[in-house]
Amino acid sequence: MHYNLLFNGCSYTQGGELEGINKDYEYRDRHRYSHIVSERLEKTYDNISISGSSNDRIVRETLEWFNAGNTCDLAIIQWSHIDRLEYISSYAKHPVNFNPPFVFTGWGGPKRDHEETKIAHEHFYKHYYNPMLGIYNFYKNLYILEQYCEKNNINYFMIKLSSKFSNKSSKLLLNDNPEDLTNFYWKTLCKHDWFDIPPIRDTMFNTREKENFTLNYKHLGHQFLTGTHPSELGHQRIADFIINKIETK
Amino acid sequence: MHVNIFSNGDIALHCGGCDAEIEKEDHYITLIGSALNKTYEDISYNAASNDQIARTTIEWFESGNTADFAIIHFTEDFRVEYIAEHNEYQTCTPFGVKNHQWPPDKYKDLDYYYENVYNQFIGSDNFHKNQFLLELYFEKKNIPYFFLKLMNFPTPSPWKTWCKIKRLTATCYTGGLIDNEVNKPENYHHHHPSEKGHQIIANYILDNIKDKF
Repeated sequence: MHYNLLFNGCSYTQGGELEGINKDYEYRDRHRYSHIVSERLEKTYDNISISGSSNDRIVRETLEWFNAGNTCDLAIIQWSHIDRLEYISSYAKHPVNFNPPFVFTGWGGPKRDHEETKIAHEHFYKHYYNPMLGIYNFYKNLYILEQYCEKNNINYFMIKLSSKFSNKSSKLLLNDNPEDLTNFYWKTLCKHDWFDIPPIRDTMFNTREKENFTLNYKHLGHQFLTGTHPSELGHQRIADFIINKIETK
Repeated sequence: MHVNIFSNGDIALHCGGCDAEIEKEDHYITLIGSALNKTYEDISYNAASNDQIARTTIEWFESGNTADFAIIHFTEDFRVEYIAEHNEYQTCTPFGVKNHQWPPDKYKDLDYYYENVYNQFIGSDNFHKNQFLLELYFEKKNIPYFFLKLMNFPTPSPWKTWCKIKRLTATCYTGGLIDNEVNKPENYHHHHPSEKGHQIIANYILDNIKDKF
């Protein structure tokens, strides 16, 4: 199937929390930035983003989408936190995402996972992962996506969740200094650089303005409605930025 | 630098640095270069992981070198490129590597990884992601290539579905070109291919690539 625009990313692109306490996913889909951009530009689009996605998953599922025969005029890829990685459980035999907050803050994600995956998840972050591995993995994924898009003549535009390499809740912050990473492995081969990719947070909207975020319903027992994702206004501001970039191009 | 044949792989095809050292003229890439009367460059590295093989191959081409043909010998799936936080820009393949420059607590962490995190599905996925990337790279650059692998596991992987070559020929172990060390001790020298082993591998590659020159 052909679409004008393809969107992929994590919860910010999926429209996380816009569904609200009524779980109105149609409302979410109509108010997230992918819909706003496409409606304003009068373009068709597909949004294949999934909440909690790692960059491994974003690249893999983007390639899956194209290899399934779909085409687009422009792919808009939103990179996620670098410390999320994809893991394949020998029990489930399919990829799941590892996410540090599940280990360090006790989020509910791994409760659904098999015991073996839970153990692997915890050991991965407590004993094996370090930010250098996350950066290595990001640049390798970036390189694969660049090569794939160029070989197949796919136009693409990239944004990222945050200017920081790591999620604060991961407790695995790295000093975000570009000079620390000169000549870093796959980075030297990539056409783009992490530091040149526009971040949603604090570039497309101000994270200190509450109206850019959804409401916090955690006190009512909604574990994943904590007001950490863009509101309708936040999504409009992301859309404004992207439309401006597309039109400038 | 321009060569006719570029080659990359792991210890089994590397000429020096361990007990399994063989003379350079007995190495399979030398045999192939001589048989075809072609120039070659081999950047194989002791205990390389598939991550490292893919990365150093692309780095070699991207630093201005060119080749008419590439031969890549992938290694075992369980080796990965690991970067120690306190030893920036150093990589190793944790399993079976005794690099005593690394702090003991880091060894412990790597042991945890193989005991509690690693499984054959992760290894297979990582290998096929590297295979996919090199196929993509060589095809984008119009460089013909021939791939082999130290050993094969029939493990599924999402990336495998997009690889052009679904099953690479294995060189070592049961089912490989030189079989295993018990059945064919003459093909091995200190657990690595002997002169005879290299000759068998070279003959196989020659049979498959000679028409491409």
